[in-house]
Amino acid sequence: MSQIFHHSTNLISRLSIYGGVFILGLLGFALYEIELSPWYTDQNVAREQPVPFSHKHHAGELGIDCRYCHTSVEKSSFAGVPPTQICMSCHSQIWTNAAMLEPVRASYRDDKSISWTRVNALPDFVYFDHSIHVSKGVGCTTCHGPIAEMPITWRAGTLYMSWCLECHRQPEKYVRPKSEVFNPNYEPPSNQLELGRKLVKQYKVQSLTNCTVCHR
Amino acid sequence: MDPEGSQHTTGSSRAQPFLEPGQTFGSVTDKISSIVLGRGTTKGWMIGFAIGFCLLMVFNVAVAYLLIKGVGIWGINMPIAWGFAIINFVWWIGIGHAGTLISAILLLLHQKWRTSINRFAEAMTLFAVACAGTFPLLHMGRPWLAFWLMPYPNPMWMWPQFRSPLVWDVFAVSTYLTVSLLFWFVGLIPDLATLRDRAKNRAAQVIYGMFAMGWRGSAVHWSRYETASILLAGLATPLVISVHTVVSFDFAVAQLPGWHTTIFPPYFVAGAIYAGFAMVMTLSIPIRKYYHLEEFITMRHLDNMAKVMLATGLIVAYGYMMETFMAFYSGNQFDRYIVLNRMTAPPYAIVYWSLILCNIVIPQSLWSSKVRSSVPALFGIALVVNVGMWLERFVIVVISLHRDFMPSGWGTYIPTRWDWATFIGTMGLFLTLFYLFIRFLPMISISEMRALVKETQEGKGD
Amino acid sequence: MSSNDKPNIALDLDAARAKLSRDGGERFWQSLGELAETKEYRNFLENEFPANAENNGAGAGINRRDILKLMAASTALAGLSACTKLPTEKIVPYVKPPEEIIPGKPLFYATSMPLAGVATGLLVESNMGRPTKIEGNPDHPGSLGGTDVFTQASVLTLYDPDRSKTVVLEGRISSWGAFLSAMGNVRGQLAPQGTGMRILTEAVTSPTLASQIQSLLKQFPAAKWHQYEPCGRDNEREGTRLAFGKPVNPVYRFDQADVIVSLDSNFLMSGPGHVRHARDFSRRRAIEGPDSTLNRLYVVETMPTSTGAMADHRLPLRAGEIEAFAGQLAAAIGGVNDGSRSAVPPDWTAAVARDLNRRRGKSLVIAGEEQPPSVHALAHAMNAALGNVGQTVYYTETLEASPVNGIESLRDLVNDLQSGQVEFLLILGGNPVYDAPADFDFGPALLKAKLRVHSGLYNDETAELCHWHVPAAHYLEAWGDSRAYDGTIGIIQPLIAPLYDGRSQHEIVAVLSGDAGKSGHDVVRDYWKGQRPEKDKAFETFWETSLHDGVMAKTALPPISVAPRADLAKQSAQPRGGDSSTLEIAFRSDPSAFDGRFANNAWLQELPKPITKLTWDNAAMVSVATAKKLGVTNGDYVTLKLDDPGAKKTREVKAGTWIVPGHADDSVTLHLGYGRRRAGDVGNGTGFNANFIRNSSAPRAHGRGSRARPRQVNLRCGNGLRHT
Repeated sequence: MSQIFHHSTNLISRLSIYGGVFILGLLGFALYEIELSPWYTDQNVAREQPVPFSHKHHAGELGIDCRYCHTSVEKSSFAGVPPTQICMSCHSQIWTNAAMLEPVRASYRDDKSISWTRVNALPDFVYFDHSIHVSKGVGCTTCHGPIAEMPITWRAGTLYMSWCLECHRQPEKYVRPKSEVFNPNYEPPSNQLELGRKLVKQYKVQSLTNCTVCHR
Repeated sequence: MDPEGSQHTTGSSRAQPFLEPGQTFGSVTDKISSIVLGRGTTKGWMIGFAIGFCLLMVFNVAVAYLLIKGVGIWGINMPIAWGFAIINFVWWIGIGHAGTLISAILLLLHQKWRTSINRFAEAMTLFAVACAGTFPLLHMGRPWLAFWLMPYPNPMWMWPQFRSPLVWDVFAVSTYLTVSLLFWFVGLIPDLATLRDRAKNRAAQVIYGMFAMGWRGSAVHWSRYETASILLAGLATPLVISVHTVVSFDFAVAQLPGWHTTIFPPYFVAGAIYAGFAMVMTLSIPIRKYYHLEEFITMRHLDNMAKVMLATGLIVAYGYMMETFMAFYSGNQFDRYIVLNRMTAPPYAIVYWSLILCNIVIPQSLWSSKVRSSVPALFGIALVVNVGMWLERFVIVVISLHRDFMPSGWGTYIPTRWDWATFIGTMGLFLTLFYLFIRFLPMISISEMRALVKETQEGKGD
Repeated sequence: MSSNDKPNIALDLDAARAKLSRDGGERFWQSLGELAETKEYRNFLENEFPANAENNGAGAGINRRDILKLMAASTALAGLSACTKLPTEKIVPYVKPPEEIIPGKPLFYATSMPLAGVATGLLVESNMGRPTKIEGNPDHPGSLGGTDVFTQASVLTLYDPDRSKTVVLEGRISSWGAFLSAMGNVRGQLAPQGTGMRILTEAVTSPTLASQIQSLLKQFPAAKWHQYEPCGRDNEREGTRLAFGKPVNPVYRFDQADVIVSLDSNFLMSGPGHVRHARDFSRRRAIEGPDSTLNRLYVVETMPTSTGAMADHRLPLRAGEIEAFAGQLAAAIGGVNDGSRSAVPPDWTAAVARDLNRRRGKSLVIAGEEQPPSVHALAHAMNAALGNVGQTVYYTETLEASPVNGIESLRDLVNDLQSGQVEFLLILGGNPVYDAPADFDFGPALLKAKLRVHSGLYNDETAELCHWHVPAAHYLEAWGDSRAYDGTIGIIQPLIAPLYDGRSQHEIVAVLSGDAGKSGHDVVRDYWKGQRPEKDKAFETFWETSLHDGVMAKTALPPISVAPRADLAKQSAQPRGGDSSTLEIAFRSDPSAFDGRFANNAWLQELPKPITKLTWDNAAMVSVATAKKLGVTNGDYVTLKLDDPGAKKTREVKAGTWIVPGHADDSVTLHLGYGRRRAGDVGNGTGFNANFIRNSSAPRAHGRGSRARPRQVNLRCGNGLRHT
């Protein structure tokens, strides 16, 4: 009897079966890469803000300490974004007529808060406390990246659980002396592991990886 | 030794053939493939399929409502947090084991009587595993996150809890499903080629042709086929033991009295085969009647299946006895209580005693060869064993949970209509799939039956 | 109980009794239903915690939430859940941040909550400028760190959406400005004498408010100030007047007492200073060392209360018979057997008297707020005779700047209203239309005032009948001051700006005084500036310290020495309870709703009452024997009819019965505070209003009833019953 299929079916069937396996693998890989990509995590994506605030200028060039604006970082779980009054504490004296700062002055004048776009946000089922990290030797730039070099602010880490776990499982890789926590230009020394182990012991840093520490 | 070719309507099975003589290659092929190709869709099939399909719709509604409302619509609560879902899961998986035993183990043991039943038994396994697999998914609080049970690289750096038998189940059942599917499909290929060659319309030709994957029936193909069958049988054989052993670990690794006993793995495996053969019996008796396959599925098959049922039933009975004995021998007050509670305390004592009746007492009638040669009796006993094995899982899951260590935590389990709907719905799923299978695929392995023809022609009855 | 509730839970009391006698000894049970273990009770239990919630209709139907969940689920099943990103959030800081707030951390502020004139000092937790949790102020004498249910629940009332939110004029939304100009007109019209001006407040212990009203009265000499507190201290005050010739404030020191006799006083749970009393009492129940001695409590009461539950010896006694018992006890203490009849076994009285005598100076007799003044007077006499004055009890000037008998004060007002003398009536707080005694007919009387202004937290039954309604500021939103049970001043400071345009009482009285626009803060501060000797910087320090601590240091009222009248100790009263063929009614303030002001507080409605565990309802409480006599069981309705020949219409109320084992026989306890019509979504329609049958002649004590027909109890009130 006549052939039911054209002889190209031989090739097509092999290609589709082997290719299918390959395509599934590729799909999985693609999904994984998307999940880690900046499109999905907003990592290294500079966010647009109502006022183009430059950490590079303020924290880098002017050398203003992080805590001048982010006042509750040592006492509370929430570091906070500065109220308009803090901006005006300088900008009522300098750059008083700059067009770029008009939204700030307007906010102070009209008593309407500035709506900043959140750059570092964790999902609601995660509890994160700034004060304990800061007091145990985790520097600002360890998690928030080279903030003093950012003309517009972006997120430096993925903020995924794996990203947090990397330090929680091995704090000696990241911990720094308490005096350097607020230093935006700190570079980890070449003997970070050795120094880290010493500091972990000294500061009694626990590697807290129990679920309920963060998912309370 | 019995004389060759002599037939007894009663007495030793040796005398009964596993393929009635007088068949040829052609007649075997015609008989089986005509069910698929020649008859079209018969009224009887439509009715049966309709029933199955309606029950499948019941399943859909039950599952949809479950996904909307959550597992609270079932009767589960503390302390009986596992109810019908797990009972049905274990029941269906157990049923599946018979198919694999018939296909794989009996193949390796060169038991020729497996031939006419192995195809639909393996299909039964696949469909049973499919039905079973719905339950672990559905009984989760968030079924849409079921993929978290798979170990894949994820940005949470979280692996599944490998210490949990529930995770082992995931691997065991998926492996079982995969291997069974492969085994069944590989076995189907020559038959699909037969159907392809006999098909009348183009659509059938193309579809069967695609799935036949270019089988030509050449010697090379047959050689590869035989090798693949043996290899897959070798893969599937340990699964028969291991999968239900892992399922039994769901219970055995817990501390609960009534669950924490080492008899469970062999007892479960034996029970699985018991239930599975009962289901094969339940399926094969109507099939052979309505499709006039008495010559292929002979009294010898029914007789052998009945004997396997009897044997595994006795192992299960041994398991019950051991549980009871160990409970008292151990001196542990909780184990003792759970056994006494099963036997005496309402509301579930009736379930326990029904179980003993269905699984131990009634099947003892299979000792009698008269019973073993009565088709209605076999059908009845098979149904009874099906029910009994379901009751056994009920006894294990519900009775042990409903009264554990702390009396303040005792409770009662009352299944809701959604429990029943889901359960009956899975029967609908099974029936639908099975009817589709009967309609579109050869329910008996054509190629293997043809191999038997030669042997019966030569008069060898074994 | 509404009529369409579930059917009565039938009780088989005989079965319960049989079970108790069979078990012998002690057996713990939670309710009669549980003891009798009827089928209905088991059904009721199962319905409370249904095994299958879905069947009960709680999950019946598919609503929007479920559809969204299903959509989310199907999207996830389709594998697309990984494709949704975290949504972009905004982060919005302050413009000018408030002082001291650290975002994420709470702040605590000290304030006080006044209830019926007596304040409990509090520390209120404030999260980001919103008060969220009430704690006691350990430095405040009325609290010592403790609180009660009313203070805890008050934070919910602050956020109650049913609170009145705007100024209302004759049912339509108006404005504060319109109110100001209207009040300006009133001042002009009623000047210079203020004839026809009346002010009705609750019991005022705030020195600032009292001073404001006094100066208003100086401005308008013909104006009158009335005070009425439905569950206040009238009986106690009259009792001290009877005993000492003038009203004084007794201050109890329960930590000093070895033996305590309570004459129907629920001093652990209600009454002025009960939070402190509970602390002090429990200190004497703690074994701290080998020298610790426990105190002993005797309680004679009508309705089982928590104080009765703490008693070492408890006697259920009809409210009307307690006076006779008090007389006998007084006599026994003095060594005199007066031979009068009493329902109390004489050896009981003798034993109590013996115990009291053995602990002279370290004992305490206290009378309940609902007992008539004569019982209070007897209690004071007994304390004096036992030498307890200055040890376990001392007396100070009254907390109220202007103490009056509330009922009489209200009666004067009603008489003035009826005779048409009232041109302008300002009702500052309280809900007299709801809780005035029934024979006053306050509602129709109120309508006779020409211009009526009401200020309260809710647009309630009284606001309905007034022209103007001004929303009141909650104590957590307003400035003020208050006195603790011993007179200590506590400043009330707000934790949040008024949510709903509420005004404090100080601000409203300031408007009438011509100081419109003066803020409550200024009013209170200026008053204290005028009172304190400190000046300028010293005053600032003093003010800040008082605010910080929650108490003004050393402002507890000093003890005064008073002596009881000579003839008091020997008075033996006639048994007043009547014989057992009559039923007495005892009115009590409700443990959850108090006098009704908390009816819309869902926490308090949900709170099970002590002993009975009733929620969302009040009932006619009777003993097992009385229930049998009346032929009623739990859940049956009884009609209580007030037979007052002077009344224009028959007053009756339909109440559900509740059997309370341990209740005194032939006595019915009714709790006030329910049956509100305009409380809000939560409180409307719960329970029945016992005020309908409460007579001014015996407002807190008893009526008399007899069983006229099945399930109907006719009360005869006001005849031959003593009142002040």
